[in-house]
Amino acid sequence: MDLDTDVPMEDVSEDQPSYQQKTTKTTTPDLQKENIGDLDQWIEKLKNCEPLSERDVKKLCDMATDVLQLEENVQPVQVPVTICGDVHGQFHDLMELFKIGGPCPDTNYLFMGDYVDRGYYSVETVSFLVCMKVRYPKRITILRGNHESRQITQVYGFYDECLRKYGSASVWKLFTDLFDYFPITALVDNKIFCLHGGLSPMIETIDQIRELNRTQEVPHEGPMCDLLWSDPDDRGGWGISPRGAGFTFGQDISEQFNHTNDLSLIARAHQLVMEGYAWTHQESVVTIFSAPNYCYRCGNQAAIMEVDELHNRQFIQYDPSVRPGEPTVTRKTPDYFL
Amino acid sequence: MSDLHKSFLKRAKQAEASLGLSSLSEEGDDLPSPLPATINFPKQTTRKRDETNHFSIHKTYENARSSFTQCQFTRGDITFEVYYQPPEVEGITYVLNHGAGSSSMTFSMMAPRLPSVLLYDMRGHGQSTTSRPPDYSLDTLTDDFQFVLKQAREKWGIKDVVLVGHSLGGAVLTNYLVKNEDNQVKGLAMIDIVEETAVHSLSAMTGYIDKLPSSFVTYDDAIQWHKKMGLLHNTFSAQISIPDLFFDRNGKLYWKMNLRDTSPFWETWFKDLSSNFVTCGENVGKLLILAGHESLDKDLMIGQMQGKFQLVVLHGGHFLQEDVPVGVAATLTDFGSKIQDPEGYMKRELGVIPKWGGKINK
Repeated sequence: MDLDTDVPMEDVSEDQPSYQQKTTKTTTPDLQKENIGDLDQWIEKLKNCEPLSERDVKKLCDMATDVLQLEENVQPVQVPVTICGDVHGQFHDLMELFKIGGPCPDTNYLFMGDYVDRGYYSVETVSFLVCMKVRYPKRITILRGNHESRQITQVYGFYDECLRKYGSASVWKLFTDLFDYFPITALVDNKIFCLHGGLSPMIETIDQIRELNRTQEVPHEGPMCDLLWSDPDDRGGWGISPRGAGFTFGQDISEQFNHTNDLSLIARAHQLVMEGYAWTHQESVVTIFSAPNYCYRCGNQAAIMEVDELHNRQFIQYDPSVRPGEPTVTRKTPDYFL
Repeated sequence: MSDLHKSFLKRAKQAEASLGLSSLSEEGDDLPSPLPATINFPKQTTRKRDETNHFSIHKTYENARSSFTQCQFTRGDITFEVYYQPPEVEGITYVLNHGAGSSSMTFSMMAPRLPSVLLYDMRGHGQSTTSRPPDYSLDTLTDDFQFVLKQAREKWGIKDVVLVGHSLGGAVLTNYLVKNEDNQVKGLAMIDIVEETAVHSLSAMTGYIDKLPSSFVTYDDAIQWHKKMGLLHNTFSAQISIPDLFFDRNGKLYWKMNLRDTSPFWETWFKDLSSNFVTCGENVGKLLILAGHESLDKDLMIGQMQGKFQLVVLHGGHFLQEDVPVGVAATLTDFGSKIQDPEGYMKRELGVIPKWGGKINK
């Protein structure tokens, strides 16, 4: 592709009407420039793994809300695109991903959720991806994962990290409020259906997803919960998920869904796969996981899937990046554990 | 997962309310405080007992024990104390295995909130006797469990079970499923046990055992000591679980269980626990309930991220079943009803009748 830096700037002005209209009545080029300037500055800062100030996060989330609320429950995405799975706060590995897959906006990206929790840099990771989304809205799509939730982030680390890095929960609140606007699924060239988890017994057609009200906390049950929580299973039919939310679905279900909706593939994330990607249900479903050596101890490879204009798919696997000053995993040892 | 836990709790509380049961407050008297660096406990050897309070606690304890059907099963020279709470209608029985240095009475607050319960004291614990020389290896404890479960099934016709182990009890039950094919076991739940953390903490155990007072004058002293150490937080529960840990000789309370006897066997207890928990038992549902925070080791984390088991984190201390009995019981009953009747659970609890895609797996 022969994109130059002007293209993404046009991107912003095309795709950012609403917040510009909100802040000033007339769309002035000066304001665009100011926003673009801010965003570019934030992106540079974040590339060094330095968190934004609380004030800047607020500004960023306001801009991002305006972008994301205009997106659809089933966000259309064009080929070519590189599809990525869970990142989980592993910021340095995300930078590695962009090195391997090619820099955004030269390469189009689709992320299938779970940007926060477990890794040590959830704040920087989600800030960076949201900055990229606002800066290059047509070039990057960010879906919601089950961890983009107020309740899950209080158990698995994002909430604590925000408290640690900002001294209060306000940044956590800004981001978790923003998560409510993230699209929940994407459709690549009408053929590849992308989402974080999997299928729902309440959702037979993609049109039914378009009817959902997605701007809310991830519910404990129901179709939106299932899309973010379900897993494919070796057994046929539906099953209660061992995770305690969502369902398991068999090959018969995947094939029926793909047939009904004229799809070639369901691409999803959510499950750790040791090779970084894994085919299931006779290639009707692929799992992609993009956090290498998950949580700094699981020893897995990561992968991304490139889809070209002719829908050829290519997986690129990668190992953890070498990074200086990684905090060591320390665990509190209780006095008594019998 | 706190969100899911909240919905379980809500459902459980609704269920309790609909049955006219009043649920115990989960506030406890004082939920977890970090362990104090030093414990200054007054010397009490010369103090006289407050007989009224002491015996009122003893009565509470005896009442709790007698609320179960009690029985003894003898294997060789060891007699096991067994408690059974039959189901009101036919259903799943929760088989509860306590941890080292504890006893079946650790589950006494939680048991009435489960439909049917089988409890037993491990050898040397509670009311059960032990062998000389003592043998507390994981395989021996597992054989004991297998024996007790078999006897109880014959005596009471127990069919489908969910195994629930606290701490070392979780390791015993996991080992049982590694060694036995038992298709009446529908679920395995472990309460606050993670291999990596447990193995680390064993190195600190000798120091812990050295800190134990050799005796107490009254049950209340023992309860206060456990609370000060941050081991227990719920006085109601402690009044039942603590008396089961001591015997009375000449007006003083001595520990029934000498934890030093178990030290030669520690290295057997948690070996490969996490990988075994994730892989053991075909078609057995798995649940891990942790206290305070998520502290998964590598094998558990991979298992969780592959959707192999459910993780619930509850706010409380290591003895979660005592600190938050309603929360643990609600989590267990939800887990049990889900694995016993998936289709019914989907319909009843989730309001889901699949619109497409055919059958629901058992």
